[in-house]
Amino acid sequence: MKTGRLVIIDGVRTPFCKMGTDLAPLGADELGRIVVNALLTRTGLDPNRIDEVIFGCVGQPADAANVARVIALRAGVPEHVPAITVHRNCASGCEALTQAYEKMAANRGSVFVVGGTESMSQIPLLFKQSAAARFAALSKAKSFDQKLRTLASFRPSDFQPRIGLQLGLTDPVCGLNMGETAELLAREFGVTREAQDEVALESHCRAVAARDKLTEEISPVYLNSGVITNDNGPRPNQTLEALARLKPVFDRKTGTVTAGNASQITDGAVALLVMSESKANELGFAPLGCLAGYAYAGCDPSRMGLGPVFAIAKAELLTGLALPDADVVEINEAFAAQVLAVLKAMGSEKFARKVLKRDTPLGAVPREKLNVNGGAIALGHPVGATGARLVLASLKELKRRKAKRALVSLCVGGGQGAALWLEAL
Amino acid sequence: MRTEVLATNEKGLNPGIVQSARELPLASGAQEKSFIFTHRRVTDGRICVLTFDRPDSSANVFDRATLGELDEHLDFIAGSPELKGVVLTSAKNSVFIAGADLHALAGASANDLTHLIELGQSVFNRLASLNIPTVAAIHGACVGGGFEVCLACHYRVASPDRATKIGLPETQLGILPGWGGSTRLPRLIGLPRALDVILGGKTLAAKQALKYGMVDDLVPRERLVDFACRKILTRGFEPGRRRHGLKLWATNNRLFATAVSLRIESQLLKKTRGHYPAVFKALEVVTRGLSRTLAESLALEREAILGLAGTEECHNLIRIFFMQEHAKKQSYILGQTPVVAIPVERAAVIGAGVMGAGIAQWLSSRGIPVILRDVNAEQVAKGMAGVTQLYNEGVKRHRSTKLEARAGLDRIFPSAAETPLRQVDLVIEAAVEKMDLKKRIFQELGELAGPNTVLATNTSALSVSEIAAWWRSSWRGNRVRKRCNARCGSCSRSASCRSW
Repeated sequence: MKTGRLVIIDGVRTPFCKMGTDLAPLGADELGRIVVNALLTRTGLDPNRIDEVIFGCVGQPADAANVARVIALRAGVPEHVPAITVHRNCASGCEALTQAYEKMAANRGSVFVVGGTESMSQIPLLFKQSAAARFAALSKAKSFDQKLRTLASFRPSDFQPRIGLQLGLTDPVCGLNMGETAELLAREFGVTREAQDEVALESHCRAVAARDKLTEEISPVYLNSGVITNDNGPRPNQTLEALARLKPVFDRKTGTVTAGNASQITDGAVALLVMSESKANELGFAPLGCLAGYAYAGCDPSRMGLGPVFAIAKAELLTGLALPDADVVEINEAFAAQVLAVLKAMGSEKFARKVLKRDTPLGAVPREKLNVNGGAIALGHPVGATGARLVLASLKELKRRKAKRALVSLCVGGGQGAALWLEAL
Repeated sequence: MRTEVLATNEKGLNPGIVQSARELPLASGAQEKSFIFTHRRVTDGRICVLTFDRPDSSANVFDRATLGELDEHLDFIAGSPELKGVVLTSAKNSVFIAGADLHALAGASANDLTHLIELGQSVFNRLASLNIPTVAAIHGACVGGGFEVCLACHYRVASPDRATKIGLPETQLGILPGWGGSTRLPRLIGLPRALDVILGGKTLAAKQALKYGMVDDLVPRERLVDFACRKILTRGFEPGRRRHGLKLWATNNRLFATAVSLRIESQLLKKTRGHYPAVFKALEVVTRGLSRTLAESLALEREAILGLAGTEECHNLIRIFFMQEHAKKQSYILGQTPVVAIPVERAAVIGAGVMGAGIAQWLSSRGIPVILRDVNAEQVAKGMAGVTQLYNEGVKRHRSTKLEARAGLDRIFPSAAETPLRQVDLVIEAAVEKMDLKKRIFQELGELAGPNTVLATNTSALSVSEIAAWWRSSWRGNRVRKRCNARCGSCSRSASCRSW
């Protein structure tokens, strides 16, 4: 039996706001609720028709276990509809979409609300294990004497918090911070500081120029203090000189990766309504596009930034679609160094033969096709949500360009890559 | 020969369903006295469970007949020395006992009233003076006389349900607790809190009542009676007086009472400007009664309530109460034949001004998802701020919990763009009062709404008929001909559209 296509009907996202700014008071569940609420309002879908809610989230809130379920219930999705939270690090938002496809293909439903949500602001500070053990002993202590003795056993270092965000951005296997993996790529592929800063500047310029286009994706967030309608990451007055003045963060002496040419740490959420093509016809929805194929691939965790290269190569094997077939390409800008390294690797015959075990390189990506409305350096990278944003943004861009195919790819912390082929309908 | 002792069913799952005395087979063949408003059974553990269950009614009330039945049960209990304890409970879903029958009270002559008050006091006194433990197992509204009978019990356990509301609202009706409430409550929970409840005419949620000491324990509804029986058998209740001993000693004395009385009286004067004589009388009875014997204090109550019942204020307050109750039950527009309300599962409010926000908040707080729509994000934001504020106030006044308020707020679907309304059952237009604008909105609504959507307007200044006539003509007739009456409690306005 031939499996039908999974079509994307519509999507919506919150404005992406830098960590600690406008959206900081909202947890990942609240951000997710807001987008699902907006998606249901905008599409007029009867929530009873949803078969499952699938949401990606990396820093899952401690007070909202299975955050997808919390989001679904709070957004008015009926109780009988199940919900699952997925985690593939930076590609969690893609994973939600591809899982919907897999469920549809396995005949486990035909209408899905998928997406991603992340509150980087609310990733908690943690106590060390030694401190946790002492707190546990304190709560068990019965007599006053015991309590006093346990209290006295605390050391000042016990109260030094472990920063959850920092832990999450450090690879537990190779021990490198994400920024350090980018530095490694910059060294190995000879990516200069200037080239990185140019990518960063371009990202800001494009995002600022595309403000009206981006507004199409955004649903306002209503807070007590007022309404948030725009991303606050893109800087209209960004200059190369200002970028050049920034100090490298991860290798202070000889490094090239700065806060300016890395993705911003941001809060945000995205929701997409997807369904089988036949269901869309039945319900009378006009889709934006469909998922034409996808691949996830693994790679060296310390060079996780190259993930897209492996995923795009794998997707080509699976779908027959090659880089030149794409009218729009998104390579998530985790780091400018990493995007440039990916481009170099994809164009290199040596890399193709040695690493990818194929005769020809994947191909080049012209600048006018790549990250055309700005990337994560300007807009920010709420890790669980970005994948879904790229899908939404590239589908909308295909519509605008009246073009056919888009390729969305991300590098994934832990040494993976994701590549999704989308087609306009 | 008592048949109830033979026929017991202690393991009944639902404590509300108990075999009534009148249904029991008559062992002796003698005509057993049958009860109408109450059931009685005796458990294996020899505990007498009295269940209030007024036939053909969703509520229990105290009238002369019910008090008489309770009195007869007390006869039985007094004559059965083998009994270990007594449990009072109700078979109703949302009411324990809703107090005295106000209709009887309102229509009573002075003589009847005197008799009714005396009867209640004497029956409750008998209950209070039983020498076996007595427990009130409370689920549902337990107010006025309903709580006074609980006060005459030794212990009170309640269900933590939302339906459980406990208090003495008499002063709201221009009278005061006259069946021992003004006397027993301060002796139980101390003067300051008792005054708070009685003068405020307050009814408290179960949790709050526990905090105040008005009930001794909270137990799930299904286990109330079992718990009460077990506690009696194991002598598990700790007398409240022992727990609150020090506090009661500090507050329940003449010196403290006089001081508090003076202070509160001046506060009340400021608040009421001397109107509402009931609160002043209640203050006097409670503070003076505290330092007297039980009998003297009850006499004070009796005298006070008989005086108050004749006042104009009392008549008017009771009349307002009846009118409010009537309005709550009103399901159709006055002067028209009753219509069956269409179920509203989803609604939309067009216009996020003060009115729109109020209506949206009211609907969402009743569990209905509401689209709140206005022309731009700034207007919607104002509406959302309004809704949030209404919910915050609700939390502050204990009308809803934080979680309930958040759930209500979650049910608002803000929208600053054109939104499909096919799934919506009811659309209420609450835009600016301009005929042109309204016509334009209804034009748009006609296109967006489904064939069964009811369109309504909240206009107060413009002619509904004009909008309706225009709408009908522009839509060539009659896609929708429905009427509705959405009462908006939060802003006490009525959104109505007639004969569309």
